[in-house]
Amino acid sequence: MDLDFGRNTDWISKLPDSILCYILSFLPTKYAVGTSILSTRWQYLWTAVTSLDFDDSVIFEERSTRSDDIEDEVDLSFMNFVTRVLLLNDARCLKKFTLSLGSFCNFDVVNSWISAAIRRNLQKLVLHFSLGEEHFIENPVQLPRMVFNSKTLVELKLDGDIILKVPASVWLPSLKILNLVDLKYEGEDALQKLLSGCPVLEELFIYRWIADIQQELSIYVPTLKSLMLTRLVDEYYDQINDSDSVDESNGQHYKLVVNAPKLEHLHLNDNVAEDISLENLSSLLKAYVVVGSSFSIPVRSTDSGGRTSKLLSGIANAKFLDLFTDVKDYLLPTFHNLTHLRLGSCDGYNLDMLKDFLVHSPNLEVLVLEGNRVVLGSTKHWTPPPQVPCCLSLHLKEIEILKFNGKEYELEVIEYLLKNAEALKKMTIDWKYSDSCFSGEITGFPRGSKTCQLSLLL
Amino acid sequence: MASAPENEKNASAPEKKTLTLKSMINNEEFVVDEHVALQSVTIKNMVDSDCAGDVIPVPTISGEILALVIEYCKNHANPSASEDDLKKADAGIVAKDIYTLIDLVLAANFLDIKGLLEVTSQKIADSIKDLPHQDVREIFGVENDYTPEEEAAVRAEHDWAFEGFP
Repeated sequence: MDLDFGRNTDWISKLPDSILCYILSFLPTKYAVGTSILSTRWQYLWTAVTSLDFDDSVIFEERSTRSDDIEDEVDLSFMNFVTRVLLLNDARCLKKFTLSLGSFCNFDVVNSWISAAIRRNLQKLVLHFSLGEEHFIENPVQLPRMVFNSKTLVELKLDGDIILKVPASVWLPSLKILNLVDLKYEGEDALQKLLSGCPVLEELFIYRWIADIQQELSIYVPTLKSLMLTRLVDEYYDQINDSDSVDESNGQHYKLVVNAPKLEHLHLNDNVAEDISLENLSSLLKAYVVVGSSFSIPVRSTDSGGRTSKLLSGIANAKFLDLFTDVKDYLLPTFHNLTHLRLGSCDGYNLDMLKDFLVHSPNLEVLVLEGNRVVLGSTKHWTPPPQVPCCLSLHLKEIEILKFNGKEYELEVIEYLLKNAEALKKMTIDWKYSDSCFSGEITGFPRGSKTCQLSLLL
Repeated sequence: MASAPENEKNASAPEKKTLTLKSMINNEEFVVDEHVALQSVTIKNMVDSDCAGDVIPVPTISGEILALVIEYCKNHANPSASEDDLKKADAGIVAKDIYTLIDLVLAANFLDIKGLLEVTSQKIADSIKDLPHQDVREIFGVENDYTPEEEAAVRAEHDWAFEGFP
């Protein structure tokens, strides 16, 4: 028997067209079409690929050295290519259509491509336009209405210089994944309108610089499982706004409401909203939350403590929580399900919050404390809770101390935890930002758990 | 301490079902837990329709490739593996030379394992993307049967596709 059968190239050349075509679907379309040059058998293989991916930047890189005439010629060449491919490709259903544009900006043509793709029962549409602010102001790009009324679209990713103008009727009955990055929105309710037409949406990703009118954002999606929301204040806008900050009370009110009973994953970094309401997050498993003064510049709110308390009570079901905050004034609910907690702050440890979490997380098993390289206020001291919290005596197994600085209060915290965490199996300290002269001191601290291992990472 | 109850459990629980997969290329045999092997739709169909004997012969797939396939199936049958773990494990499995990858894609196709077919095809696509056309011909055992005129016509038809290629 031929042991090297698998390496026999005759056999490889008998690879069925269906597999070759499947492999071609993973190539950018430029390369897939390029394989037509290999042999007569390959000439039309690409016409059955179910995934099309066009990117004009391949040419764009050389563009700076080109004259306007050549530039027009290149645009024409790209346009003819995409149009021909769309005409010749005869896959009955298109799985994916990706279009990345950095220079081609004939949007009558672009929109006809997008419509043509949508009409082929498209499942996934990815648009990435980076055409520059100047172009954008002159010719804001709107998507064809057909995009908002597709029965087959499962995934929609929009990134860059696009205005989200949502038609009066939106119906995307199959859409499960929606990504909106750096878009401009036409009208306050564009996003709301879009969400209301997505009856089975599971994943929502929004990244947005706020530099426009007041905004009340409500995300009420009963089917949503994962939400990643980042809204940041534009620094430029901020400077303008600072000059007449006296007018802050003139009705500017940013509000965020999330109501999603099936939500499992929440990633929230919103330094815009003064009022955050997280309602009905009964399925929440993992939360990553950034909130508070040093992380959000500027703080518009006068009551950041109340805002934080409301936010914390909204995520109290979480099993895994990563929380980055400097807020000192808050009320902490009990986190009954919490087993994994990571706490970080811009200003060394948020000691009060650490104390409160130990008291209010009865089932905590893993604790990660993230310090900071530059710590300004080093005069603070650790005040332990009056009684040893039950998570320490029963459940806490693993502690990780990241970015250890060697400050007095850090040593106090480590000493307290080592002494009182009776179930502790492992404590790891990352020393990268300090000298190692504390190692003797720390290894000498009495330990409540006899089986605790201490590792120092240098 | 911990092992005692474990043993008892094993004694009382029904024995875990296994299947034996045999490469018909080099007669190598692999004993695999049934739930691992059932990730192959082809094997699942055989088992469901009672066509599977004690030993399931796998034609045209060498032992070396079958071992990779089984590694993939084991990783993906593990309910506690996180998405990141699986991604890393997949990347390890497809970190192979192009000929191994082509064998693997054929195996994934024959055994009908969608995830493996996908990661392997992606890897093949990545590896051939920037190669000159002549190298791609060699990899896939393709002979250029165009006349010079025909080849020039194909180039002219999709000029943008050939920008940047020799």
